[in-house]
Amino acid sequence: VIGEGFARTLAAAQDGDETAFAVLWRDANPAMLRYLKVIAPGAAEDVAAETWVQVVRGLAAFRGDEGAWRAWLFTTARRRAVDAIRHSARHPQAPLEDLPPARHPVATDPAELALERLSTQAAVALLSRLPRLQAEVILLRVVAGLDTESVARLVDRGPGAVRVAAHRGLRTLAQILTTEGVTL
Amino acid sequence: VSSGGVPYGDMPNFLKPRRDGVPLSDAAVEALLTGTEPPAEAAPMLQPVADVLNAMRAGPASDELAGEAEALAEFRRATGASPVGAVAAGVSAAGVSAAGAPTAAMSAVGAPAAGAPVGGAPAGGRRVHLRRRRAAGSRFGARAAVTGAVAAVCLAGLTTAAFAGMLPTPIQRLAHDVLGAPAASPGGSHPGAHGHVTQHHAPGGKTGAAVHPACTAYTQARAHGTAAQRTAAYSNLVKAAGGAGHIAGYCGHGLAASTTGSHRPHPGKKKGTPPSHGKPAKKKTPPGQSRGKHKGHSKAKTSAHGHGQPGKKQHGHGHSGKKNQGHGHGKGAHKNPARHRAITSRSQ
Repeated sequence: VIGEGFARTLAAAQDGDETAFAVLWRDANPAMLRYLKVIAPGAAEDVAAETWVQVVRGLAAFRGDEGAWRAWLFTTARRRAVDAIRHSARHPQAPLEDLPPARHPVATDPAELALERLSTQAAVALLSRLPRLQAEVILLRVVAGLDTESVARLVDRGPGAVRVAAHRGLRTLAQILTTEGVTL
Repeated sequence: VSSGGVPYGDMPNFLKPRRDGVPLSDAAVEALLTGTEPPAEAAPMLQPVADVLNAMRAGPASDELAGEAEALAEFRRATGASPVGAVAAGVSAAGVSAAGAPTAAMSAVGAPAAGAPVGGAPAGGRRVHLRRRRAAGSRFGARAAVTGAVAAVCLAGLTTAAFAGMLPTPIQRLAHDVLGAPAASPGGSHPGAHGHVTQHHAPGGKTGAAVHPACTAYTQARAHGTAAQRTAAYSNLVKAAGGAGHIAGYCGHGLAASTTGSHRPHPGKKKGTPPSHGKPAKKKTPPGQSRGKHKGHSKAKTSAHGHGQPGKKQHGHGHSGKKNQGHGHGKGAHKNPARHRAITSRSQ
């Protein structure tokens, strides 16, 4: 979350400032990817890239605060994910070959990167075991930072249904962690 | 069941197992979702859940920032902005301080200070661009194909109508000038229906004058046709002129003079040799009513005067498009060049 400087950053990005847009992208893209890895596993990077293409096109016309910005981002991502899921259902594809080693992301500390990815990936994997609505509601609340009403609009449910889904999801998650002894 | 001395606690509850293992109040749920401290009584039980949710809130991993180059490229493409210093060149996760960018802002949003994915564009981003380019290409290709097909159909129809002489006079004139279609008749909107052929170079030296098609057909049949064609052309001419004695007035004196005694087989032409220009007509076509389908007479009359006069246009109703174009000039039309020259000079 950018916070106080969001309005200034957004205005600069809307004026074509690439640096400001980079700030917006760096703030939102990791959360978007984690959300997409749960609701559109296997296509998260593609969907995120398509989402940003659409966001860039509509950036100049966007009006709103940071909450509205994130709601718009995740609404767009969700729609793109639904499209991707429908498309993959119609056109099943074999996975592409992996990137060559020369193009793998390079980090200064591979051990740190591995741990970092492991914990996040484990959390994503745990949330992926929940029913879709429960996982989506928890992710939108936790990762996207949206409130109950925004999540309700995004998933096209009532606020009460969103609260119930979050409650059940967290309870199920706690039971999984208790019974299976999963640690991050 | 419980009357047999079995304690209640030993009886299994088949109906609904109690799920009160994790106490989860609304306040605890809200605390977990917002990342604040859960209520004290539920804290130990909910700590594993809080750890999972905190892992989801963790700072960006390196691979989660790997698509920045693609995103910035898309941003530049959309806004028309030029690359900004290190952002475009390095696109590293270490921030954009080299271009005077707000490094503090980067750290505020959780950008790592080091550990940059160097030039790491995600496969996803590339795939998206490729897919978009491919989709745009296929859309353009489909549109171009449909447009081309429609244009081809329209052009073919227009050409057919032009060579059939069915177009309105101004358009027929245009087709006459551009495509070599039959000229529009002076008085009608459908020139082909009247049977008059306007030639720039008439066979009997009547340059620019209107010559009846039967006269032209006979002239050409006499020059190149078989005996059957000459006979058919002559009979058509007689019919059109209203009798053999009226041929002079009908076609002009030159032709009249040449018709006397000239209705004989072509010298040197073998009997039964197929004509070099098109099929002979199976049925007689009245003069002035020949269309593209009547290949025999039509082709004969449109081909003869083209020999040796490449600059002269020859137009007639017998034109039926591709088959008549270059008629008499193509391969096999005249295999003997000397004979070809002789025929040409005779026809002139």
